[in-house]
Amino acid sequence: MRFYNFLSGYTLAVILLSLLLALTYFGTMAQVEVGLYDASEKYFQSLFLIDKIGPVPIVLPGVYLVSALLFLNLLLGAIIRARKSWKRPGMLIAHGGILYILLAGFVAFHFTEEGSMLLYEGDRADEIYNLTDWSIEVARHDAEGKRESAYVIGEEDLKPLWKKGARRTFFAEGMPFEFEIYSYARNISNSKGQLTGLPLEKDRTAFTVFEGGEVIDGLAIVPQETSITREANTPATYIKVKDSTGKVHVHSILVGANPFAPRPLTVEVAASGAVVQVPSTNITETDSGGETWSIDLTRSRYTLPFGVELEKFEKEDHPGTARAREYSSDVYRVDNGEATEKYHISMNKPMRYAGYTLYQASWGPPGAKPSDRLYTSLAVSRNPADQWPKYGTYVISLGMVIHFMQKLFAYLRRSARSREKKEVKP
Amino acid sequence: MVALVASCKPVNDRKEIKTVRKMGKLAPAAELGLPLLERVSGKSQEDAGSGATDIPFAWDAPDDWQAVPASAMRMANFTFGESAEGQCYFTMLRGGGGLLLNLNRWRSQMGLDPIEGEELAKLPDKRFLFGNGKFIELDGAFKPMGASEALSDYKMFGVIMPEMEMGEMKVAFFVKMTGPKQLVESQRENFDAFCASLRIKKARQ
Repeated sequence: MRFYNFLSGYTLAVILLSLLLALTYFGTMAQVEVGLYDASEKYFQSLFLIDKIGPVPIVLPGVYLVSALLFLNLLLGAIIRARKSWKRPGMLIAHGGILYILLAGFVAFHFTEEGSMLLYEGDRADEIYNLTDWSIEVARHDAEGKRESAYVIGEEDLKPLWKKGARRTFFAEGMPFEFEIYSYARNISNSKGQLTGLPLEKDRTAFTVFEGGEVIDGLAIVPQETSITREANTPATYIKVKDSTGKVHVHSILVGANPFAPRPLTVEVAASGAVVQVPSTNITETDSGGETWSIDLTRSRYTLPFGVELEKFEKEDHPGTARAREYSSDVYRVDNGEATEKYHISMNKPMRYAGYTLYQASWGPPGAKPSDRLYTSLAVSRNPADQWPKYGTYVISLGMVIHFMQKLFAYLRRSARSREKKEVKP
Repeated sequence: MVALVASCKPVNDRKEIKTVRKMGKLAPAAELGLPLLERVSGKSQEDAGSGATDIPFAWDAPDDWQAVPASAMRMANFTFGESAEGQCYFTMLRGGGGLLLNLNRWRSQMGLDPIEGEELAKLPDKRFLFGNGKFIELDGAFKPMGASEALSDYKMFGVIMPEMEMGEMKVAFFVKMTGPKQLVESQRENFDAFCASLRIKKARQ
């Protein structure tokens, strides 16, 4: 009972709110040093974290854990344990609204899909890609090179490989081989986007040789400093493709690829189960008729249930400069290959369809000259709880209005009674 | 705490892939069957050896310049500024065309009238490549090739080394910087340093 009282009491609420305040401060300050995404992951998306006060390391709860406890504390204290009376429904409603917003945060964190879509005029697309997260996609191609679906290893399963010495073997039902990923480098590019961490063997003396690194086809992975602007990083990793007996058939390197022109590692799987890298001089006649598979290290991608075609992109600059004042995109929604409804997307006017929201985010290419062909960059997100914080705010406002109106009327009643008493006195 | 300690050890395990994504019908086609170098750089082994690294010139670029791909005309190609609105490149032209012709071409791009030959003597020298080139500084409304409208309040720095004898060929070398006036002005030292850093890397075969 004492534990229940603590769990639903004001003491815990005050501790949790104080922790939220402190973690928000630490997380915000950390963004300067480690960047927005790494700071968010460490402070806001974690159960626990290790921080330092001076040279002393301390273990702190993450905002995720604190928020979950706050949800429980509010639910038990303000809804279940609280006195329920028609005299104070406002507080009950307002706390319900706060719970609803906390729940929205949980749903958004776990179920949001977001990414970008770049389109030149006339282009069509029905996939978006995430600027910060990477994944490995493995797909079987038909005789025409087309893919129906892909096995996806998401960022969550790649993260443990960031650690030095980490290696992980991936397998899947229906995939006729398995592969090992090791010596994963989060970044091999410099600030200018050049792949300085993938030197040719002949240039290797210019670099510190990476422990565990190998030279494959004249190339080696040399990890570079990770940029705090996470989208500027290009990962690379070594890969060994094995057959069902564990025999290594292909030993290669995967490098983070441009999602618009995928150039994956290609392997041929013979009916015998032998796996051969393509191109290869080892392909024999017995290998013909096998399956072609691709393994690609790519920015995490999501498929939309509809396509988008850019009809027209317009950009207006500030007079005499190349700085954009405003820009907008006229797009068609594409269903089953047919352009259907037309939408105008501008800075504060997104396109909403099937639970997805498409915002006008940017344009490119960077440094384009006035005569250059431009593309539009649309930010696409699907958050099932997209509108919940708005509704939660309405609920809180309603609760507060009811509560304060009751307080006001009670005050007015007391005042009136007090005046009456005064008037009765001689 | 146990989880924290466990998370410090690097993983060495097996993991089943359970997520399957249905590909978009409009997804870009993958280029299959490319060797590693081509997958990574888009260049074949042969091309990789004949790319920018075989240009017989070397230079030191300022840190805040962004290298952009070289082209047939531009051996060194950079942008700078917040939105990459400034650009600077080093180029070599066979024939060359002479100092006056090139200067007046640039003046025309900046919306300025041509000058007469006798005014060339007033152009200052700038350290460049094999010795000195003629330094040009122009203010005006810059109209890049192919653009329909001029960009006002622009500045151009240029150095021209016309009609150098290279074997039996006559070639001209240029460094040209353009951008909004204040931005280009802020790059004056970088421009001088870049011009001075240009040098021959190795003799042409």
